Amino acid sequence: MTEKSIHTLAQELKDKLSTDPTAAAREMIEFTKRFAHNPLLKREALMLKLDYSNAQQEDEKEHILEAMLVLINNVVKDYLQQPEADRIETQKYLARKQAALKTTVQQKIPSKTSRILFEGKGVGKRFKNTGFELSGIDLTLKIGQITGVVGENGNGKTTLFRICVGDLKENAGQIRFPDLEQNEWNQLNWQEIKKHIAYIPQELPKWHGSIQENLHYEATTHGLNPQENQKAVDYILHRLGLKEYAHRSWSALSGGYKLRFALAKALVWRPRLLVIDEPLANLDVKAQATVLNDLKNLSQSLKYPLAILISSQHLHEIERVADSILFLKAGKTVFYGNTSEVGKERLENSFEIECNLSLSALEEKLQGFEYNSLDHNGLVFIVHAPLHINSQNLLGHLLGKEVEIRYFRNISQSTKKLFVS
Amino acid sequence: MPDLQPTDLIARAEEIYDYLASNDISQTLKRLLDFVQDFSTQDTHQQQVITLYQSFRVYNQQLQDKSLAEIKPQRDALVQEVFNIIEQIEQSWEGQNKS
Repeated sequence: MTEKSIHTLAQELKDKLSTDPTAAAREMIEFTKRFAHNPLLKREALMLKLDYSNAQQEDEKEHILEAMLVLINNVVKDYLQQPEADRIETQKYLARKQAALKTTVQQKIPSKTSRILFEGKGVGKRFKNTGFELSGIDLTLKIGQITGVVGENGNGKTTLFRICVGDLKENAGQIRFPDLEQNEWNQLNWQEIKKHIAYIPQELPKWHGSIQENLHYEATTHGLNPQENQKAVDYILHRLGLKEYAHRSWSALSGGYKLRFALAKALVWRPRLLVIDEPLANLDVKAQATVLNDLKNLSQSLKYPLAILISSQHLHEIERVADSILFLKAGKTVFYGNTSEVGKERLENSFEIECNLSLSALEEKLQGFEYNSLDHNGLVFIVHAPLHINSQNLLGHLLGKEVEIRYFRNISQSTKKLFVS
Repeated sequence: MPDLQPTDLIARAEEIYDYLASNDISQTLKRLLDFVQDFSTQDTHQQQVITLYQSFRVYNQQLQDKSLAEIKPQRDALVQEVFNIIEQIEQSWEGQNKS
């Protein structure tokens, strides 16, 4: 980096502060991280950005923008005060420091992530009274990863879950838990294995007493000593945003908080496998995102990582966090693989559209546009088009025809496509 | 949300700073609690983060009635505490790295 270019970048940033202060405040942090040697300058940049987000009155904002200008000048000064050799090496030094620390952490806390916790091959279960059969299911659950199971109701998701947690005995195929015990296929010590599995069913069971009392109880019954028990309960109450509800009883909680409590109860004793059936059903959109992000972060904990098996009808939400997806239809696997591989071998693209037109009116608007077929599933239209047709092509055409679009989604690489095909 | 390698201590610290700069205090504290659980060897750090949860709750209540200027010193002290916890943990690992 030359001195001229840091001056140029600083000037551009100052100019942006007057035209787009919010974006400039974000860039100021990157600028400080990149050039400042003095760590206090980075702290100050973060503080100013935070101040700007919180400021409500115009004079407050003006004052903060002035402070940002001063900070930018101070970063330039700090950078130029360094000997030239150090200036060039700053980024390399930081990269080396980062790599060295990562290696040290890896040595001191060996990662359990990606180790296989559960493996099932050709798993099946036949119910004589209903005639329903789950069959030929291959499934591998890895520590630190989330596996999403999707499919319409009555297609075998809960049956599969109950087999995984030992509540139901499979009558075909093989299962084992390589990371829990060195056993052969199907020779399982369920008494031992169940000590490491938490299962949250769709219907949450009622409990007595307060949340906090129940969490201490769960931790105790799973063998945490008093000191660890207190620490684990404190952690999970705060981590899942339950502290303010710690003394509430079952009847005083909404459906969303009952689920959070069930999660806390399951996670407080640090299981190795969490199996959770349809957790998003009673949550609003914001709470769904929060719960899924929490699950993703918690599964990848360095100290207590876990494998998560989760079912849901909320396909897009699950696909955002799951590492792999199993799609079940009539008890059989339609798709199983990495989330990024969904739709990889598709023959056409598919798009969901909601607009203020009838099927025939939309067909008319699509005249002259290259597509294969148009369906309506009762809620939205689905346009199937050749692979070279993308979202921009379709949206561009419809907007050009002045179609008022309320909703649009490319589902070509979503399991949603498997539902509609 | 970009995928982070859990063992990448500095990247995880940066993630917390990003949440802080975005004024997402809830996510800042959640990930700080995870950071402490994963990397700290001091029992006091978890308690410090829990105290921060309570303090930020009070701060947010005050922010409804007062201007930022009035309670900025208190807010700055809380944010400095976030920095201090992360830096203490980073330094403890740097020490192990040298030894």
